[in-house]
Amino acid sequence: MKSFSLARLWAIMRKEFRHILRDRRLLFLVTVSPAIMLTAFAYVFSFDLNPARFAIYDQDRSPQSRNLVAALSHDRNLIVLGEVDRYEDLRQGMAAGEIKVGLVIPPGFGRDLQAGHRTSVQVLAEGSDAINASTQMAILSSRISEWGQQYETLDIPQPVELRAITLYNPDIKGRYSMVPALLAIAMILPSMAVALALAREKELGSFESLAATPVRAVEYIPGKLIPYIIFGLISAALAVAVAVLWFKVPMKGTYLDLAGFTTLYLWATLGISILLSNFITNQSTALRAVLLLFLVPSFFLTGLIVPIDEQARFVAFTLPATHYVAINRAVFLKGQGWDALGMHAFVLLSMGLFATLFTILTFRKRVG
Amino acid sequence: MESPMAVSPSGIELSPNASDAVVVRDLTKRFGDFTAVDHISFEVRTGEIFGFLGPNGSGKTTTIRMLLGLLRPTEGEARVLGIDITREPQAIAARVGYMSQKFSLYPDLTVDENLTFYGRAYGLRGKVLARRKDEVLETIGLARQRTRVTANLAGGWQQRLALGAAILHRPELLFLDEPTAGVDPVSRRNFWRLLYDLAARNTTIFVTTHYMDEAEQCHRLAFIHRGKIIAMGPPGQIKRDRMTGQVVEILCDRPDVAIQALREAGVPEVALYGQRIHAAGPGLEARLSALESLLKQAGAGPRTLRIIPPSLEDVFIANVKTSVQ
Repeated sequence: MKSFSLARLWAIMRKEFRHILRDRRLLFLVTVSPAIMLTAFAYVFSFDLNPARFAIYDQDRSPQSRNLVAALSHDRNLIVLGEVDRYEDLRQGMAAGEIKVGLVIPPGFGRDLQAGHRTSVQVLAEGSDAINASTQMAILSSRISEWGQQYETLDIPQPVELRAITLYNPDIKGRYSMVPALLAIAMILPSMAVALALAREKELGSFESLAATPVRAVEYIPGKLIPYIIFGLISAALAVAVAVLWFKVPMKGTYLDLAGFTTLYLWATLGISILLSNFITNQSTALRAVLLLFLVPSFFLTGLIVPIDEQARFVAFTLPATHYVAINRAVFLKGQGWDALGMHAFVLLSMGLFATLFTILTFRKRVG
Repeated sequence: MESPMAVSPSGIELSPNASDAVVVRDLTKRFGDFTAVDHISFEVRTGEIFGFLGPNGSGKTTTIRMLLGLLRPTEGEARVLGIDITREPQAIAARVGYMSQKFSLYPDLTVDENLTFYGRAYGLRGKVLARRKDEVLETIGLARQRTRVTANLAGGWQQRLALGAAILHRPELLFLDEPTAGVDPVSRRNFWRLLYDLAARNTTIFVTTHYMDEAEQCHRLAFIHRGKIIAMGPPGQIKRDRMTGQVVEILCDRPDVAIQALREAGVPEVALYGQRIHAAGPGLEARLSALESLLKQAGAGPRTLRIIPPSLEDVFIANVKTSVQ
């Protein structure tokens, strides 16, 4: 760590900027690709595109239950596949994957409503496609609630109770919470770029020449990191622009806070990526490492799509994306800042700092 | 176990003195069970072109990497410009230049940008850097290619640029690892002219090669084979001392038939160089006429047989055989 030279750090940074600006693949990864990924994913994971396909098991067969079925059948957001006569048919249809969501209207449904009592329906979902199922359940639930309003009285504000988790107004709000979270995934792309760039330097043999110069890890690592953080912020700005201008996600927090959090996130992800690259000597392995260790777990374990599983909680905690997903949702939708999100920010900062220091300390001018 | 071949040959070597640029004693590098460099010892004198010869995988690059402080030796010691390579590996970098085997400059940067980057990496800046770049571009003859992207340069020019990047900071000692591999003969000759100029200006040059014609141009040589030094000294001396017997050059109509006949007659070394056969072994001079009639009988159609001074290649092949036995 002795004899640190700012001039050498600057030399590495300038060279790195040149590489990025001249390599179309890198330039793509660190500028527009997060915005493109965000757009694509926002559509893939949108909650309002596919009409819910469901089957009904009407055990009541009262005028009220028939009225509900008719109302649901006419809803353009729902596709009623048909009615079944047995509970077993519903299960089999689900096992075969034909039915995604089932609605069970219990006996006494009409009678209860008639009498001004509260009643309930059961909503079943096929769990293997969790995103789809929850979306469709949500749509179905909201329609049933709307229908139930006609029986509303002062005593009973919600006459039809749903035995399922109700997401409020899923058509729109789903995307509102999804887009800021997807930003965390999209912003992993710059760290893929840095891993590729490092591996390429080793493949080309340039690293060996560089190793033979007086350049030290304490100059080399930050010299790599800083240009990628700067480009990462540019790409984040583009992706946020897409989120706000195209997807109309409300931004209740401040952009300055978001930039600060994003810098920490980039530092953490790029830092870990560089740490991994230290042990990797070719580009394809580097790509796979980032995909497998970063992108894939970030998708499934960070609370992006499904809530964080109890058992996966520790793993989730170690992924930078977990914290950035939470931060983004809070900044965009709740308008929270450093006070409320200090813990997440601190974890990201620790990750970035630790990864960078660890890389510098263990960095060997490994040549083969 | 130290092979007797690994010691300095024939006691002619002077004992190491303080002015030697590189002093190596029993340097060894093992990778697991594989011994890449096996107790080698040699000195490189200040201002000389020291050739390090050997086939691929013989331990040349491993030795250079240890001397640069990039690899830690398993055993033995070495001093480079007086710096202990195990104690202060970091201190070596600033004072030596290195050109690796693989072309290693940045292909996406221009000639000028590559030099700027390496200059800065060695701590040069501002006017000094600008002046050194001008000088180096003049020396390597790439002044007019300054703004060209390195990837678009011809192979020979890329090698010269890599040399330029290695000498920008005026190192006292230059390590060149097969600098002319894959470069055309004219470019190779030009490149060696540059090396002579540098040596004339008192830069010590440690160069590895497997081209024998290049080896002939070095002041001193060390042959390395399977991690061991099997011969060392000035090229002329190696040829005198390490070659037992004479080399007969044979030109004939049927080289294949001739080679077969010579081997059956018990000539120790028979090798084909283009159209010419080199037969080597002790006492061949006296058997010249006997060999000629042998080849006539075999139907090889001999045209000329003459004793020639051994080339380094002959010496090398002969020595490799002895060291393996």
